Amino acid sequence: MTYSLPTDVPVLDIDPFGEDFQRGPDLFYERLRDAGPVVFLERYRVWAMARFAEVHAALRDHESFSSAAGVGLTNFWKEEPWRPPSLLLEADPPEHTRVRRITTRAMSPRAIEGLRPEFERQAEDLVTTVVARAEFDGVTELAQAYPLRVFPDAVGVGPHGRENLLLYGDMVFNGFGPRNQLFEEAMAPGAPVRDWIAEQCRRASLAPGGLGAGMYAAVDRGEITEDEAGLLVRSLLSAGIDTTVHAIAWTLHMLATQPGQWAALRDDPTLARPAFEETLRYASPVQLFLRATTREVRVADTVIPAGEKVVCFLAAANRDPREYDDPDRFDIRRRTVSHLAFGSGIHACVGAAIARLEAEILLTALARHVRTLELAGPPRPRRNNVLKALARLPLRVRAA
Amino acid sequence: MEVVVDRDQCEANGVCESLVPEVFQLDDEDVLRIRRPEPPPELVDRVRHAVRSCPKAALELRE
Repeated sequence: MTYSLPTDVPVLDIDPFGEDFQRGPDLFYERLRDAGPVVFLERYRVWAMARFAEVHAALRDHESFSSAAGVGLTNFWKEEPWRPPSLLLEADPPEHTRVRRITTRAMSPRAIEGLRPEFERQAEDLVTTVVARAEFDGVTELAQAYPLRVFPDAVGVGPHGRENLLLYGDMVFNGFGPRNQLFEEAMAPGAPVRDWIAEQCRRASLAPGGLGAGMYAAVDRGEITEDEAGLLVRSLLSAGIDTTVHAIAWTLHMLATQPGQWAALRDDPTLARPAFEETLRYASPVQLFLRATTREVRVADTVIPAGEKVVCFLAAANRDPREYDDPDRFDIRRRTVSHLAFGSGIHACVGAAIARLEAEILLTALARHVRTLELAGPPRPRRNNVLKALARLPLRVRAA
Repeated sequence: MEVVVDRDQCEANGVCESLVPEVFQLDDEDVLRIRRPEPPPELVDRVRHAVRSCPKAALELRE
Protein backbone atom coordinates (compact mmCIF):
# COMPACT_ATOMS: atom_id res chain seq x y z
CA MET A 1 0.00 0.00 0.00
CA THR A 2 1.30 3.43 -0.87
CA TYR A 3 0.98 6.18 1.66
CA SER A 4 1.69 9.76 0.76
CA LEU A 5 2.78 12.08 3.54
CA PRO A 6 0.39 14.87 4.41
CA THR A 7 1.55 18.19 3.01
CA ASP A 8 -0.21 20.71 5.20
CA VAL A 9 1.29 19.76 8.59
CA PRO A 10 4.80 19.60 10.01
CA VAL A 11 6.19 16.10 9.44
CA LEU A 12 8.62 15.11 12.19
CA ASP A 13 11.03 12.20 12.49
CA ILE A 14 10.63 12.03 16.29
CA ASP A 15 10.24 8.51 17.76
CA PRO A 16 8.36 8.74 21.08
CA PHE A 17 9.09 5.06 21.76
CA GLY A 18 12.81 5.33 21.12
CA GLU A 19 15.58 5.36 23.69
CA ASP A 20 16.66 9.00 23.16
CA PHE A 21 13.14 10.21 23.61
CA GLN A 22 12.46 8.11 26.68
CA ARG A 23 15.69 9.14 28.36
CA GLY A 24 14.96 12.84 27.99
CA PRO A 25 11.53 13.67 26.61
CA ASP A 26 11.35 17.35 27.61
CA LEU A 27 13.18 18.82 24.59
CA PHE A 28 11.22 16.56 22.25
CA TYR A 29 8.00 17.79 23.84
CA GLU A 30 9.07 21.37 23.26
CA ARG A 31 9.79 20.60 19.61
CA LEU A 32 6.44 18.86 19.20
CA ARG A 33 4.54 21.76 20.81
CA ASP A 34 6.39 24.42 18.86
CA ALA A 35 6.04 22.65 15.52
CA GLY A 36 2.29 23.28 15.48
CA PRO A 37 -1.09 22.41 16.99
CA VAL A 38 -1.00 19.10 15.13
CA VAL A 39 1.94 17.27 13.56
CA PHE A 40 2.60 14.03 11.72
CA LEU A 41 5.08 11.44 13.01
CA GLU A 42 6.57 9.91 9.92
CA ARG A 43 8.03 6.83 11.54
CA TYR A 44 4.71 5.39 12.73
CA ARG A 45 2.48 7.28 10.30
CA VAL A 46 0.40 8.74 13.07
CA TRP A 47 -0.72 12.25 13.87
CA ALA A 48 0.17 13.89 17.15
CA MET A 49 -0.81 16.77 19.39
CA ALA A 50 1.30 18.16 22.21
CA ARG A 51 -0.30 21.51 23.11
CA PHE A 52 -2.68 21.68 26.04
CA ALA A 53 -5.63 23.22 24.17
CA GLU A 54 -5.69 20.62 21.40
CA VAL A 55 -5.03 17.60 23.65
CA HIS A 56 -7.67 18.79 26.11
CA ALA A 57 -10.21 19.31 23.32
CA ALA A 58 -9.48 15.94 21.68
CA LEU A 59 -9.83 14.02 24.95
CA ARG A 60 -13.18 15.69 25.55
CA ASP A 61 -14.44 15.00 22.03
CA HIS A 62 -14.96 11.25 22.18
CA GLU A 63 -17.31 11.35 19.20
CA SER A 64 -14.51 12.45 16.88
CA PHE A 65 -11.65 10.78 18.75
CA SER A 66 -12.46 7.14 19.45
CA SER A 67 -10.85 4.89 22.04
CA ALA A 68 -12.27 1.69 20.56
CA ALA A 69 -9.33 1.33 18.15
CA GLY A 70 -7.09 1.11 21.21
CA VAL A 71 -5.22 3.83 23.08
CA GLY A 72 -1.82 2.51 22.14
CA LEU A 73 -0.12 2.47 18.76
CA THR A 74 -1.89 -0.67 17.53
CA ASN A 75 -5.00 0.15 15.51
CA PHE A 76 -7.59 -2.46 16.55
CA TRP A 77 -9.59 -1.65 13.42
CA LYS A 78 -6.70 -3.09 11.39
CA GLU A 79 -4.62 -5.29 13.70
CA GLU A 80 -5.27 -7.83 16.42
CA PRO A 81 -4.64 -6.50 19.96
CA TRP A 82 -2.38 -8.57 22.24
CA ARG A 83 -5.22 -9.13 24.73
CA PRO A 84 -9.01 -8.76 24.61
CA PRO A 85 -9.72 -5.01 24.68
CA SER A 86 -10.61 -3.27 27.92
CA LEU A 87 -14.32 -2.52 28.35
CA LEU A 88 -13.44 0.89 29.74
CA LEU A 89 -10.20 2.22 28.29
CA GLU A 90 -10.59 0.76 24.82
CA ALA A 91 -14.30 1.33 24.27
CA ASP A 92 -16.69 4.06 23.13
CA PRO A 93 -20.26 4.93 24.13
CA PRO A 94 -22.79 3.45 24.40
CA GLU A 95 -20.94 0.27 25.51
CA HIS A 96 -18.50 2.32 27.56
CA THR A 97 -21.25 4.27 29.33
CA ARG A 98 -22.96 1.16 30.62
CA VAL A 99 -19.90 -0.35 32.31
CA ARG A 100 -18.27 2.92 33.36
CA ARG A 101 -21.34 3.66 35.49
CA ILE A 102 -20.57 0.56 37.55
CA THR A 103 -16.91 1.35 38.19
CA THR A 104 -17.73 4.99 38.86
CA ARG A 105 -20.22 4.10 41.56
CA ALA A 106 -17.72 1.74 43.20
CA MET A 107 -14.87 4.27 43.14
CA SER A 108 -16.39 7.70 43.70
CA PRO A 109 -14.47 9.96 46.08
CA ARG A 110 -17.15 9.33 48.70
CA ALA A 111 -17.04 5.53 48.33
CA ILE A 112 -13.26 5.57 48.50
CA GLU A 113 -13.18 7.55 51.76
CA GLY A 114 -14.17 4.33 53.50
CA LEU A 115 -10.71 2.97 52.71
CA ARG A 116 -8.99 5.77 54.62
CA PRO A 117 -8.53 4.12 58.06
CA GLU A 118 -6.87 1.01 56.62
CA PHE A 119 -4.78 3.04 54.15
CA GLU A 120 -3.58 5.19 57.07
CA ARG A 121 -2.68 2.20 59.18
CA GLN A 122 -0.62 0.70 56.35
CA ALA A 123 1.11 4.00 55.60
CA GLU A 124 2.04 4.45 59.25
CA ASP A 125 3.49 0.95 59.36
CA LEU A 126 5.49 1.29 56.15
CA VAL A 127 6.79 4.79 56.82
CA THR A 128 7.98 4.01 60.34
CA THR A 129 9.79 0.96 58.96
CA VAL A 130 11.74 2.88 56.31
CA VAL A 131 12.42 5.82 58.63
CA ALA A 132 14.01 3.42 61.09
CA ARG A 133 16.33 2.23 58.32
CA ALA A 134 17.34 5.81 57.37
CA GLU A 135 18.45 4.79 53.86
CA PHE A 136 16.23 2.92 51.46
CA ASP A 137 15.05 2.64 47.88
CA GLY A 138 12.08 4.93 47.40
CA VAL A 139 10.81 2.95 44.42
CA THR A 140 10.68 -0.58 45.78
CA GLU A 141 10.29 0.14 49.49
CA LEU A 142 7.68 2.92 49.34
CA ALA A 143 6.34 3.70 45.87
CA GLN A 144 5.81 0.03 45.00
CA ALA A 145 5.37 -1.40 48.48
CA TYR A 146 2.52 0.87 49.49
CA PRO A 147 0.19 0.48 46.48
CA LEU A 148 1.00 -3.25 46.38
CA ARG A 149 -0.30 -3.55 49.91
CA VAL A 150 -3.34 -1.30 49.92
CA PHE A 151 -4.70 -1.48 46.39
CA PRO A 152 -4.98 -5.26 45.94
CA ASP A 153 -6.42 -5.36 49.48
CA ALA A 154 -9.07 -2.85 48.38
CA VAL A 155 -9.86 -4.90 45.29
CA GLY A 156 -9.98 -8.09 47.34
CA VAL A 157 -6.96 -9.89 45.86
CA GLY A 158 -5.16 -12.37 48.11
CA PRO A 159 -1.70 -11.71 49.58
CA HIS A 160 0.26 -14.21 47.45
CA GLY A 161 1.81 -13.60 44.06
CA ARG A 162 1.35 -9.85 44.00
CA GLU A 163 4.67 -9.39 42.20
CA ASN A 164 2.72 -10.58 39.15
CA LEU A 165 0.85 -7.28 39.24
CA LEU A 166 4.07 -5.42 38.45
CA LEU A 167 4.96 -7.84 35.65
CA TYR A 168 1.48 -7.51 34.22
CA GLY A 169 1.63 -3.71 34.45
CA ASP A 170 4.84 -3.87 32.43
CA MET A 171 3.01 -5.83 29.75
CA VAL A 172 0.06 -3.48 29.69
CA PHE A 173 1.99 -0.23 29.47
CA ASN A 174 4.79 -1.38 27.19
CA GLY A 175 2.05 -3.07 25.19
CA PHE A 176 0.73 0.35 24.19
CA GLY A 177 3.88 0.93 22.18
CA PRO A 178 5.19 -0.57 18.95
CA ARG A 179 6.60 -4.10 18.91
CA ASN A 180 10.02 -2.86 19.97
CA GLN A 181 12.46 -4.45 22.39
CA LEU A 182 10.61 -3.02 25.42
CA PHE A 183 7.41 -4.59 24.18
CA GLU A 184 9.02 -8.00 23.63
CA GLU A 185 10.84 -7.99 26.97
CA ALA A 186 7.70 -7.02 28.85
CA MET A 187 5.70 -9.79 27.16
CA ALA A 188 8.40 -12.42 27.82
CA PRO A 189 7.03 -13.58 31.23
CA GLY A 190 3.95 -14.50 29.19
CA ALA A 191 1.24 -16.98 30.04
CA PRO A 192 2.01 -17.65 33.74
CA VAL A 193 1.55 -13.96 34.56
CA ARG A 194 -1.55 -13.60 32.43
CA ASP A 195 -3.01 -16.78 33.91
CA TRP A 196 -2.39 -15.50 37.43
CA ILE A 197 -4.18 -12.25 36.58
CA ALA A 198 -7.08 -14.13 34.99
CA GLU A 199 -7.35 -16.27 38.13
CA GLN A 200 -7.54 -13.19 40.40
CA CYS A 201 -10.31 -11.75 38.23
CA ARG A 202 -12.67 -14.67 38.92
CA ARG A 203 -15.55 -14.20 41.32
CA ALA A 204 -14.37 -16.99 43.59
CA SER A 205 -10.92 -15.41 44.05
CA LEU A 206 -12.16 -12.04 45.27
CA ALA A 207 -12.70 -11.21 48.95
CA PRO A 208 -16.24 -10.18 49.87
CA GLY A 209 -16.79 -6.45 50.29
CA GLY A 210 -13.92 -5.41 48.02
CA LEU A 211 -14.01 -3.42 44.78
CA GLY A 212 -13.66 -6.63 42.77
CA ALA A 213 -16.66 -8.23 44.48
CA GLY A 214 -18.49 -4.99 43.72
CA MET A 215 -18.11 -5.69 40.01
CA TYR A 216 -19.73 -9.10 40.47
CA ALA A 217 -22.51 -7.53 42.54
CA ALA A 218 -23.39 -5.66 39.33
CA VAL A 219 -23.75 -9.08 37.64
CA ASP A 220 -26.19 -10.13 40.35
CA ARG A 221 -28.19 -6.95 39.72
CA GLY A 222 -28.37 -7.91 36.04
CA GLU A 223 -26.29 -4.92 34.86
CA ILE A 224 -23.35 -6.77 33.29
CA THR A 225 -22.33 -10.32 32.49
CA GLU A 226 -19.97 -12.51 34.49
CA ASP A 227 -17.30 -12.16 31.77
CA GLU A 228 -17.64 -8.40 31.77
CA ALA A 229 -17.17 -8.28 35.54
CA GLY A 230 -13.94 -10.25 35.12
CA LEU A 231 -12.69 -7.77 32.53
CA LEU A 232 -13.54 -4.84 34.82
CA VAL A 233 -11.51 -6.42 37.62
CA ARG A 234 -8.71 -6.85 35.08
CA SER A 235 -8.97 -3.11 34.36
CA LEU A 236 -8.54 -2.32 38.04
CA LEU A 237 -5.49 -4.58 38.27
CA SER A 238 -4.00 -3.26 35.00
CA ALA A 239 -4.38 0.43 35.65
CA GLY A 240 -4.29 0.65 39.43
CA ILE A 241 -0.71 -0.24 40.29
CA ASP A 242 2.05 1.02 37.96
CA THR A 243 0.47 4.41 37.41
CA THR A 244 0.25 5.05 41.14
CA VAL A 245 3.68 3.54 41.78
CA HIS A 246 5.41 5.96 39.43
CA ALA A 247 3.30 8.93 40.45
CA ILE A 248 4.38 8.34 44.05
CA ALA A 249 7.98 7.65 43.04
CA TRP A 250 8.17 10.95 41.12
CA THR A 251 6.59 12.84 44.01
CA LEU A 252 9.32 11.47 46.29
CA HIS A 253 11.92 12.33 43.67
CA MET A 254 10.72 15.93 43.36
CA LEU A 255 10.50 16.46 47.12
CA ALA A 256 13.93 14.90 47.72
CA THR A 257 15.58 17.12 45.12
CA GLN A 258 13.80 20.38 46.01
CA PRO A 259 14.35 21.01 49.73
CA GLY A 260 12.19 24.15 49.72
CA GLN A 261 9.23 22.15 48.49
CA TRP A 262 9.80 19.44 51.10
CA ALA A 263 10.02 22.12 53.80
CA ALA A 264 6.73 23.60 52.61
CA LEU A 265 5.05 20.22 52.88
CA ARG A 266 6.46 19.64 56.35
CA ASP A 267 5.23 23.05 57.49
CA ASP A 268 1.80 22.40 56.08
CA PRO A 269 0.92 18.72 55.57
CA THR A 270 -2.37 19.76 53.92
CA LEU A 271 -0.13 20.39 50.90
CA ALA A 272 0.17 16.61 50.46
CA ARG A 273 -2.58 16.45 47.88
CA PRO A 274 -1.47 19.56 45.97
CA ALA A 275 2.09 18.15 45.96
CA PHE A 276 0.79 15.00 44.31
CA GLU A 277 -1.25 17.00 41.77
CA GLU A 278 1.74 19.14 40.89
CA THR A 279 3.83 16.02 40.40
CA LEU A 280 1.15 14.60 38.13
CA ARG A 281 1.26 17.79 36.08
CA TYR A 282 5.04 18.03 36.12
CA ALA A 283 5.99 14.39 35.57
CA SER A 284 2.79 12.85 34.10
CA PRO A 285 3.33 9.12 34.76
CA VAL A 286 1.24 8.27 31.69
CA GLN A 287 3.08 10.23 29.04
CA LEU A 288 0.78 9.60 26.11
CA PHE A 289 -2.31 7.82 24.91
CA LEU A 290 -3.73 7.61 21.42
CA ARG A 291 -7.14 8.07 19.91
CA ALA A 292 -8.46 7.24 16.43
CA THR A 293 -10.48 9.60 14.27
CA THR A 294 -14.02 8.42 13.58
CA ARG A 295 -14.42 10.96 10.76
CA GLU A 296 -12.51 13.79 9.14
CA VAL A 297 -11.55 16.05 12.02
CA ARG A 298 -10.36 19.62 11.68
CA VAL A 299 -7.65 20.62 14.19
CA ALA A 300 -6.60 24.24 13.75
CA ASP A 301 -5.98 24.50 9.98
CA THR A 302 -5.42 20.81 9.43
CA VAL A 303 -7.91 18.14 8.46
CA ILE A 304 -7.06 14.71 9.86
CA PRO A 305 -8.71 12.01 7.71
CA ALA A 306 -11.03 9.41 9.22
CA GLY A 307 -9.57 6.21 10.70
CA GLU A 308 -6.20 7.72 11.66
CA LYS A 309 -4.42 7.24 14.94
CA VAL A 310 -3.55 10.40 16.86
CA VAL A 311 -1.03 10.60 19.72
CA CYS A 312 -2.15 12.80 22.61
CA PHE A 313 0.98 13.80 24.50
CA LEU A 314 -0.45 14.31 27.99
CA ALA A 315 2.97 15.06 29.46
CA ALA A 316 3.74 17.71 26.84
CA ALA A 317 0.35 19.35 27.31
CA ASN A 318 0.94 19.51 31.06
CA ARG A 319 4.11 21.57 30.46
CA ASP A 320 2.68 23.80 27.76
CA PRO A 321 3.65 27.44 28.38
CA ARG A 322 0.51 28.42 26.45
CA GLU A 323 -1.46 27.00 29.39
CA TYR A 324 0.77 27.29 32.47
CA ASP A 325 2.95 30.11 33.73
CA ASP A 326 6.53 28.94 34.06
CA PRO A 327 5.50 25.30 33.38
CA ASP A 328 8.92 23.80 34.10
CA ARG A 329 8.91 25.13 37.64
CA PHE A 330 7.74 22.53 40.18
CA ASP A 331 5.67 24.27 42.83
CA ILE A 332 3.37 22.40 45.19
CA ARG A 333 1.55 25.65 45.98
CA ARG A 334 0.48 25.96 42.36
CA ARG A 335 -2.85 24.28 43.13
CA THR A 336 -3.23 22.73 39.71
CA VAL A 337 -6.61 21.21 39.08
CA SER A 338 -6.74 21.15 35.32
CA HIS A 339 -3.78 18.93 34.36
CA LEU A 340 -4.34 16.06 31.95
CA ALA A 341 -2.37 13.37 33.76
CA PHE A 342 -5.62 11.50 34.53
CA GLY A 343 -6.95 12.24 31.07
CA SER A 344 -10.12 14.28 30.63
CA GLY A 345 -13.69 13.68 29.54
CA ILE A 346 -15.58 10.39 29.60
CA HIS A 347 -12.40 8.30 29.94
CA ALA A 348 -10.91 10.34 32.80
CA CYS A 349 -9.18 7.92 35.17
CA VAL A 350 -11.84 6.10 37.16
CA GLY A 351 -9.32 5.29 39.88
CA ALA A 352 -8.16 8.87 40.38
CA ALA A 353 -9.79 9.15 43.78
CA ILE A 354 -7.96 6.04 45.01
CA ALA A 355 -4.60 7.22 43.67
CA ARG A 356 -5.14 10.60 45.33
CA LEU A 357 -6.11 9.00 48.61
CA GLU A 358 -3.05 6.71 48.59
CA ALA A 359 -0.69 9.57 47.81
CA GLU A 360 -2.22 11.98 50.29
CA ILE A 361 -2.02 9.48 53.12
CA LEU A 362 1.51 8.32 52.34
CA LEU A 363 2.85 11.87 51.98
CA THR A 364 1.10 13.02 55.13
CA ALA A 365 2.70 10.15 57.06
CA LEU A 366 6.11 11.06 55.63
CA ALA A 367 5.68 14.73 56.51
CA ARG A 368 4.90 13.72 60.07
CA HIS A 369 7.74 11.22 60.55
CA VAL A 370 10.54 12.66 58.44
CA ARG A 371 12.53 15.85 59.05
CA THR A 372 14.92 15.79 56.11
CA LEU A 373 14.50 13.93 52.85
CA GLU A 374 17.33 13.74 50.33
CA LEU A 375 18.86 11.58 47.63
CA ALA A 376 21.36 8.99 48.84
CA GLY A 377 22.57 8.27 45.31
CA PRO A 378 21.63 8.84 41.69
CA PRO A 379 18.06 7.90 40.74
CA ARG A 380 17.80 5.44 37.88
CA PRO A 381 15.00 5.84 35.32
CA ARG A 382 13.25 2.85 33.85
CA ARG A 383 12.35 2.87 30.18
CA ASN A 384 8.75 2.17 29.30
CA ASN A 385 6.77 2.74 26.13
CA VAL A 386 4.25 5.07 27.75
CA LEU A 387 5.12 5.50 31.42
CA LYS A 388 7.61 7.92 32.88
CA ALA A 389 9.08 5.42 35.27
CA LEU A 390 11.80 5.08 37.88
CA ALA A 391 13.75 1.88 38.57
CA ARG A 392 15.58 3.12 41.66
CA LEU A 393 15.42 6.13 43.95
CA PRO A 394 17.99 5.94 46.76
CA LEU A 395 16.71 8.07 49.63
CA ARG A 396 18.13 9.15 52.98
CA VAL A 397 15.85 10.42 55.70
CA ARG A 398 16.24 11.80 59.20
CA ALA A 399 13.41 11.15 61.60
CA ALA A 400 11.35 14.07 62.85
CA MET B 1 -26.01 32.59 30.92
CA GLU B 2 -26.69 29.27 32.62
CA VAL B 3 -24.57 26.52 34.18
CA VAL B 4 -25.83 23.02 33.53
CA VAL B 5 -24.53 19.66 34.71
CA ASP B 6 -24.74 16.38 32.80
CA ARG B 7 -25.86 14.00 35.57
CA ASP B 8 -24.72 10.97 33.57
CA GLN B 9 -21.17 12.27 33.48
CA CYS B 10 -20.78 13.94 36.89
CA GLU B 11 -18.75 11.75 39.25
CA ALA B 12 -18.60 14.14 42.18
CA ASN B 13 -14.89 14.73 41.87
CA GLY B 14 -15.46 18.11 43.48
CA VAL B 15 -13.15 20.17 41.28
CA CYS B 16 -15.87 22.74 40.55
CA GLU B 17 -16.77 22.98 44.22
CA SER B 18 -13.16 23.65 45.16
CA LEU B 19 -12.92 26.41 42.53
CA VAL B 20 -16.27 28.19 42.96
CA PRO B 21 -18.01 27.06 46.17
CA GLU B 22 -20.42 29.98 45.74
CA VAL B 23 -21.88 28.20 42.72
CA PHE B 24 -21.12 24.49 43.07
CA GLN B 25 -21.80 22.33 46.08
CA LEU B 26 -21.76 18.57 46.57
CA ASP B 27 -24.48 17.46 48.95
CA ASP B 28 -24.26 14.64 51.48
CA GLU B 29 -25.23 12.13 48.81
CA ASP B 30 -22.47 13.33 46.49
CA VAL B 31 -24.97 14.96 44.16
CA LEU B 32 -23.84 18.23 42.66
CA ARG B 33 -26.09 21.16 43.52
CA ILE B 34 -25.82 24.25 41.36
CA ARG B 35 -26.55 26.95 43.89
CA ARG B 36 -26.56 29.78 41.38
CA PRO B 37 -27.45 28.39 37.94
CA GLU B 38 -27.18 31.91 36.52
CA PRO B 39 -23.91 33.10 38.02
CA PRO B 40 -23.49 36.84 38.57
CA PRO B 41 -21.00 38.63 36.27
CA GLU B 42 -18.26 38.76 38.90
CA LEU B 43 -18.21 34.94 39.11
CA VAL B 44 -18.41 34.15 35.40
CA ASP B 45 -14.67 33.91 34.78
CA ARG B 46 -14.20 31.50 37.67
CA VAL B 47 -17.22 29.47 36.57
CA ARG B 48 -15.77 29.26 33.06
CA HIS B 49 -12.53 27.96 34.57
CA ALA B 50 -14.46 25.38 36.60
CA VAL B 51 -16.39 24.22 33.54
CA ARG B 52 -13.15 23.76 31.64
CA SER B 53 -11.49 22.03 34.60
CA CYS B 54 -14.20 19.44 35.17
CA PRO B 55 -12.34 16.17 34.64
CA LYS B 56 -15.41 14.53 33.11
CA ALA B 57 -16.49 17.47 30.94
CA ALA B 58 -19.80 17.22 32.79
CA LEU B 59 -20.40 20.98 33.04
CA GLU B 60 -21.52 23.40 30.42
CA LEU B 61 -21.98 27.15 30.43
CA ARG B 62 -24.78 28.02 28.05
CA GLU B 63 -24.36 31.57 26.80
